[in-house]
Amino acid sequence: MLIWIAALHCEAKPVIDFYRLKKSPAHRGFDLYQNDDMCLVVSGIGKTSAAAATAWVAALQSTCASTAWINLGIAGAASHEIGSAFWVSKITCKSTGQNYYPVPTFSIDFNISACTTLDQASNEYQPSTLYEMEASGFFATATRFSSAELIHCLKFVSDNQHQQSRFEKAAISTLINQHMETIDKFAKNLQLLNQQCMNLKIDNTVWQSILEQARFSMTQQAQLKTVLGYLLSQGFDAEALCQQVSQRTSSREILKQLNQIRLDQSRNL
Amino acid sequence: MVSCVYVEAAVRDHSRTQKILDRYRQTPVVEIEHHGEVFNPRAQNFRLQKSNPALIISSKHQRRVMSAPEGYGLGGQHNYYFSHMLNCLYDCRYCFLQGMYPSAHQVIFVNYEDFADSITEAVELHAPDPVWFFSGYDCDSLAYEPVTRFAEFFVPFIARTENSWLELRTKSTQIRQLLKIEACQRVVTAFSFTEAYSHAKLEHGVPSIAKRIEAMKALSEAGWPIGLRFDPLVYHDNFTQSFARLIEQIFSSIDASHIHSVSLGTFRLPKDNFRQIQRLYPDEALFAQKLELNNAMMGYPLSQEQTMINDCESLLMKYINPETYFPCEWYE
Repeated sequence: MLIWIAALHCEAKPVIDFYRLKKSPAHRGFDLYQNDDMCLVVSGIGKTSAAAATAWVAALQSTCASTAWINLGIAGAASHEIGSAFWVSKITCKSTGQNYYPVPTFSIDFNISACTTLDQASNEYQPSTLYEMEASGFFATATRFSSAELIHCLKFVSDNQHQQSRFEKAAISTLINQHMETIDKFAKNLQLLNQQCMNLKIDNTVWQSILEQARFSMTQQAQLKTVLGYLLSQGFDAEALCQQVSQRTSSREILKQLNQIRLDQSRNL
Repeated sequence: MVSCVYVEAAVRDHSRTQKILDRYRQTPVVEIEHHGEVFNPRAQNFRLQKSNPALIISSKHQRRVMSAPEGYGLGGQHNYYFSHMLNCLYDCRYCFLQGMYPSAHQVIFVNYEDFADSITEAVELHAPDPVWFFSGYDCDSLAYEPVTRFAEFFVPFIARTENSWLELRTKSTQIRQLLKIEACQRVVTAFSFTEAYSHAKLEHGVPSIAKRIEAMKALSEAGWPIGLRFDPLVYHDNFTQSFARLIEQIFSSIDASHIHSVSLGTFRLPKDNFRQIQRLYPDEALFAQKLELNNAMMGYPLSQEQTMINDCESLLMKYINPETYFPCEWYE
């Protein structure tokens, strides 16, 4: 699952339109848009709102084996051109001084910049950083649920020291929309990375069907997870494995049999 | 190729940093306060990072030279280790470094002069006894030489520091720097090998056995002492035959009388490391093999381990002087 967090509807609109996300009528805390493999939350402005929205949607998606995240929004810059797009390499929370570092693990087609998260909008600009209001709250919260390689911020310059007037909503959408192809490529790479993590997890349905075969203690469940994780990664069919152990009546016997299959399989690396 | 270079602000202007950055002009550079900010956070996935790690340029302020664990060494009484780098260029599935740090990024400590001071202090402490320094514990000593210039600095330093001995531990073929300078009998370049089958299955990115033997031969012919490290020995049905072929391959190229030291040890990992690495690589057959917990180490059942060691020792003793043999006792 890929989760987008945007502060404003006008920032979210290009993503909603591009991926044809549908608004969920069932959720009230934040506006949520979704399709089968991604969702987008409109958080509202500020790092607290971003953190709250991130935690809220993480709880909603807690059954997902692995989750990737993108915070997308506008930012101020000293001299970068209006409309230029950046992947954020370092996030500094202005009020706490805390730094966060998203981890690049695939090639990134955006320019790269540090960004500073402010508590209030400001017209002060420094050349070494972008200024915005959500990234630190978003990143600090998302790392509670996913590893840093799966959490990224994309920022689009909406104002600089030469042009400080804030854009109209439609103009903000246009400004982000012009980068939608690059954003989509980035999102696809991130989803591939996330898929790698998901492939290593045991599907919940499979897990439940194995657990139904006998009563497993917590220690046995941990052992079962290890054994099953290996066998499924080697292409063993979950249903066939269930069938194979269905004659066994105790958890110990099931574990013993699965473990023997694992030893036979791994003997020659 | 590294994905990003993080540089501690305090070493940004260091000459060694500048030389490294010159090599990565196309790579994004991010300034940091301390390498721990990037390297230590828990919410990182070593496996994901390993596919495209970043480089972190830092300096080491404390504990630069550490006492080696009891039983580790090559017959010397005073043994230390030091790490100019954390993490390795290669991706060997049996390596304890996978579970050692939360990050797969490569950290380079550029304050070599401070390491040299710490080495000098340790040598003076034990004078006139010989003191051994092992450099390949947290990284491969030579694999990153074109970037780190580690050997370029430390080998001449050891050569002029009486009573100091250095082991360079490597799986690389980066010997160009050593071949440029006069051989020093107190610097042993120890090449690690696993037999061909395990090499193909488990040592990702490591140069071929043939290339490493070639490098070893070149060094040996230039007068450098050479070490052989068969560690870890990894079990499979044809392990003994495959190991025998490796030994033959090595000693058909290398004059055994030029070998300074040989050691071997079976695959084992500290219990906690093992658990951590198994969580990262649940699909890895190595960790699904029959392993047991002995003295807080996960390894092969003791009888199997002993058989593997005995078989390999018998094969080795056909070629080497028994006095050059040091069984691995690092974790025992």
